[in-house]
Amino acid sequence: MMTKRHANDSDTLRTAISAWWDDESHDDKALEAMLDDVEQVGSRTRDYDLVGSHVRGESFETRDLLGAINARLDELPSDERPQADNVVAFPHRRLRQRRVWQGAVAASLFAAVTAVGLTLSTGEDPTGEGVAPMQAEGLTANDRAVMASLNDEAMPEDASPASLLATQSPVGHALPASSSPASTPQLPDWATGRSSTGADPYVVTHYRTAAPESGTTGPEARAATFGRE
Amino acid sequence: MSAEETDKALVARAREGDRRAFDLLVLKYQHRVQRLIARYIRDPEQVFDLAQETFIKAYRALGRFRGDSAFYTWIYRIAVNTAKNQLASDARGGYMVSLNSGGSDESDEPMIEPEALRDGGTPDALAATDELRGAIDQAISALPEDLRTALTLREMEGLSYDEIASVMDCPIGTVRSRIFRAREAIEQSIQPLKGD
Repeated sequence: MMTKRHANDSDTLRTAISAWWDDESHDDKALEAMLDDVEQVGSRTRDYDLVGSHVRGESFETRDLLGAINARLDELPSDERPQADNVVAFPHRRLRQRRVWQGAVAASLFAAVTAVGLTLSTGEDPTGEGVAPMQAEGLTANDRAVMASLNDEAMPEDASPASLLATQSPVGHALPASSSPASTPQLPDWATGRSSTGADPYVVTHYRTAAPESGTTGPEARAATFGRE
Repeated sequence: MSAEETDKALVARAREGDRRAFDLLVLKYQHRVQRLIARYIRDPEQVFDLAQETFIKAYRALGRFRGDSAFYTWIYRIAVNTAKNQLASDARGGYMVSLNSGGSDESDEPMIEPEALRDGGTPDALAATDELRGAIDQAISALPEDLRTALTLREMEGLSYDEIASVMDCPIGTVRSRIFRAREAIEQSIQPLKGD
């Protein structure tokens, strides 16, 4: 009776090994049984590979690779063996690096938005047309924040792009101004093109520090955007 | 549990320090890894060493395997990189590796014939291999038709059990059983010749 049950167990295990070899095993119990008898799994799979290789007309390796690998693994120092901590350590380090990188990109984007906002607010349009519609439609919350930060007065939450731009753009008269002039924030002279003192040093400096990888050409070229004449 | 999930379960256990789980992964993929490396490297000794190297690297890096891809994809990538590094190293050292200019079915990488994976090397070993091949041929010929068909569809055509079940018009459990019985029969025939 016992012998027959053992034979059945063994048959079950061997069937499971055969199916596992073919990527067709879906049984947790079978996997546990294989873990308990790795030697038999090794012996069976070696034969299966032999048969499969022969059927396909391929050569095969008869040496004991697993034994060779295990001999080398036994010599590995413990700190080179897989540890659960390693799983966490690697992504964290990467994450920190990514955050620094993302910070730099965010700063560059902020500076770029500032530049665009200021360019639009001074009415500098390289093509000489289309500035007004761009100003009316393209002013974002970011732009408002930038402009507010440049202004001594507080920016009202509900200030519309048109109200902000109506008094600042050379073509502003073409836009409907829904807010009263009293509530319109005033930009500093350098930003509106009425001053001749040059670009805002903060913006220029910010460019230089935020995007060091762009070299000297980029910041200076961008700084020229803020120049008076 | 799919084959991929089974592999991931084994990886998880190996990461927790269960070496038997890693053993199973080696047993399952050692032949495929060696065949893959043999497409790049002609010397069977080097193929064997590089296969070892591949699994040692994988073991040490198990903590970094996040399971985004299948384990076999990951180990194959390590194997290919290890083989390419060896080729580059051999080229730097002036050791000429004879490459077949034909592209493989997976990429345009140069490759050599899989035959480079030799069956031993010495005349005695080659003779033993020939004898083994003859015995396998005989055993396959002696198999009942349904067993032989199931095994051939699996090994030659690489069909899944589900596909074989469709072809042979039988339940998938029958396919599993037929393939197992075919292998058992062949194994028993070659047992006296194996010498282990």
